[in-house]
Amino acid sequence: MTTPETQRPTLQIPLMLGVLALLAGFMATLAFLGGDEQGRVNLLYLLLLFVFIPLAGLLLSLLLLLLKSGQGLAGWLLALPFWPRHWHQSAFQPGSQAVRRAWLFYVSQLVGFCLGVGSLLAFMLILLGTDVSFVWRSTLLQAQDLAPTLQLLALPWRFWPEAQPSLALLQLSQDFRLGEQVHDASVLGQWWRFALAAQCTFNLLPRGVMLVVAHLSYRYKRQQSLKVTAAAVVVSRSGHNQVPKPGLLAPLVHTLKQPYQLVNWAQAPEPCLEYITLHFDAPLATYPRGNAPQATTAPTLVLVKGWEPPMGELMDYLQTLSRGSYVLPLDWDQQGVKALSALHLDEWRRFTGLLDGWSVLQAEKPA
Amino acid sequence: MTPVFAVVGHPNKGKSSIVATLAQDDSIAISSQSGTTRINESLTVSIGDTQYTLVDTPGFQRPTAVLAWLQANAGSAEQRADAVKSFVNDGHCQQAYPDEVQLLTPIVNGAAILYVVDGSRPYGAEYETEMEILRWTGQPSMALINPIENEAYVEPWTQALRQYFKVVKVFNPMAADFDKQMAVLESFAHLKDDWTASLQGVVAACKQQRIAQQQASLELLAGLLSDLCSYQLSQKVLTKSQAELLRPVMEQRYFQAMKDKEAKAHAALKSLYQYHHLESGIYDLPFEDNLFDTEQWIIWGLNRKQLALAATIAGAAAGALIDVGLAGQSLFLGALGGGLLAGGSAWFGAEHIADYKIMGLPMGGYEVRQGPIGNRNFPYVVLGRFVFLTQALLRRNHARRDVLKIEEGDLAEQIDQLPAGQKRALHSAFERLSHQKPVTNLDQVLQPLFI
Repeated sequence: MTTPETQRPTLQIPLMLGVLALLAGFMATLAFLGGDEQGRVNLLYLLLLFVFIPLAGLLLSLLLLLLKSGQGLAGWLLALPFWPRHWHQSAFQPGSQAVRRAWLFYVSQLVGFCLGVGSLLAFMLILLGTDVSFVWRSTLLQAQDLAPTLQLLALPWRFWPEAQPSLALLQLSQDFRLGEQVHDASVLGQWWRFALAAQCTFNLLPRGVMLVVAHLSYRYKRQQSLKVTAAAVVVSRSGHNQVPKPGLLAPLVHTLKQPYQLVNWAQAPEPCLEYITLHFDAPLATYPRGNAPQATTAPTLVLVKGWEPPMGELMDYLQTLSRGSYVLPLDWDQQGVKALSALHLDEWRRFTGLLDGWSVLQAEKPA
Repeated sequence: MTPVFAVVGHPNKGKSSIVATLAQDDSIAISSQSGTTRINESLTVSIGDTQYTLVDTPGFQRPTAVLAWLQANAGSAEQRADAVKSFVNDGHCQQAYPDEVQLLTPIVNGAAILYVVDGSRPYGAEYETEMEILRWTGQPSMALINPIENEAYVEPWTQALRQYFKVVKVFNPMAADFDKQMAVLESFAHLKDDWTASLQGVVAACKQQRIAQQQASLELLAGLLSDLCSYQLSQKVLTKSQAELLRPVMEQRYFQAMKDKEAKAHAALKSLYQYHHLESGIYDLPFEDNLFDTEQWIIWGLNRKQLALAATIAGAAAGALIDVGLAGQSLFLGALGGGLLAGGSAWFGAEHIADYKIMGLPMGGYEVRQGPIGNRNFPYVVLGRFVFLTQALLRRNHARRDVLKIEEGDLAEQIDQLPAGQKRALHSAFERLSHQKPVTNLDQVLQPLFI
């Protein structure tokens, strides 16, 4: 069983897509965290970017995995027309579809992970290089409404108290564009820990786990595919026969020299003997299989089963008889004698051809 | 311990055919000429971690004389097996009875006996000599009745063979399907307790391998379809007149490459099913020289009407997505419009094969492009030919040496028998393929046609 080379799509595609995703995540976060002219970043939008969109992406990935029919983010990306043609061929053309699906899923997870890493790098760079003020605005929501959700989100990093959101911090960070700006800049900056923990917990960590699982699954499917190759039937042989070249054919005759003696080598039933008498006259004498006919000048007619292949013991027997004799292969069933097939006739003529002066006898008219 | 079976019997009763079928080996010499097997041919069949050996032997030639020798050399029943061993090792016997020495050698070395007779011909008392010799060996044995031409004499043969063999089975190596082959292998497992686990492992591995073969053939077809439907040939030239001149050359190269791809996939399919020497007439059909004659595609793909219907189904399915997106507010005009549009273009575009395009390059010069094939029927044609070959291989046995002849495909009928959902998925996938769009679950879509 062959394993097409394209079951191992090039390393180039995940590498390039990963780099592009890293850059995209980096640039998007950089643009987003630039905030307004005062460096203020909307905390709720940040949550959307760091928590809700990655979570939705993860859920979609899982759904596609369960449906087993989707091609995922990588599939959609690679279906775009601007990639090099060989990328398209590597990703979608021959090979195991199960392996390819696993590979597309793995590349999708890699793209998602690299987006997150790019985003994190940009976030760290901004935190390092500039002051960011995290504020939130809402017409409908109050700090009391938001606090439980944020505290719920922060449960996974309970061990990091500095990164926990508090009602007081929420109240201090609420912003009104037309209201009085009374924010303490150092307080507004405290949200970075929460944002970092949220990014790691809801994006990088699960996506990293998915990436590992996807990679393991891809490797497993590839190995399974190779196992199928290994499970193919292997036949090792000793000795090799070849179809022999056909030998000389004995003459085919329709009459025989009279009188003759009959040897019923075939142990044929009475209708066959009557058939012989009808077509070739009655023999001088009839002998059963294995019995030697009398040594006279009369030729011997040896009746054999036409459908049976000639055997060595018949050859041994015929060699004890006088030259100028005949082999009569007959075919019969319960209805009586029937026409001998050309295949069987040829077989008997080849066999008799090994004997000097022997002929194969057949009635002029087929049975 | 590897189970070993010596396949013995009269000459020309299908011993080699049985070995070829069970070993899935189409290289074993088989002919209607008696005496083709002159020396023992031992085939060890390995599937995964399991294996067994079949020994193809020459037929009996002088059983009467051999039995006489044995009777002369064994005074009582307990000496019979030793007498057979002495016979095999005796220098004079090796000269006088080479065929019997060959066929008895694996048996005295521990092989079980598979005795083969022809069930289409009357039973003959002369066979009793052979069976008596085999009984003398004392090895586990089983008789296989091979109904070479018909089953007219299976019953009398069964009656006679039961007196010499505990297990008697009818097995036609030319016609036995996979299940029958497995049934015979399973019955081998009962011949010797030590071999039971090993042979059951072989049967399980064979069944597993059959599933893997089916999956691999699906993947092969999915790859072939994607490859052929998206294949494009391009060449850069300096002037438009050069591009025009290139047209016949490009066309020939393109179609040749397409044919080669298909032939390669068909060869891989044959190889997948262990046919390494099979000649198939699929390449020698008169229309094969003109694979790209759409008139001939009706044989393998769909006719114009069926094609338009398939495109309508696919178009309606795509249009229905729009309706779903609009929560039905489009009054199902999406499905209707999509169906009409696709069906109409399939009807009127049935003759269209592959485009020849001359594109101007921004930096000067031109690029000529041949393909891809946009005809909606093309994937069905590729599918029809591949499915035919797969089914022919599944029906065939490794003992057959005739050329695999082509028959008219019945793809349209097979597609018609699919449930509506599977049919729609197939037509939609092929619609995508004919527009050079990737279909990632193509193997799943094609699977119902392979069951």
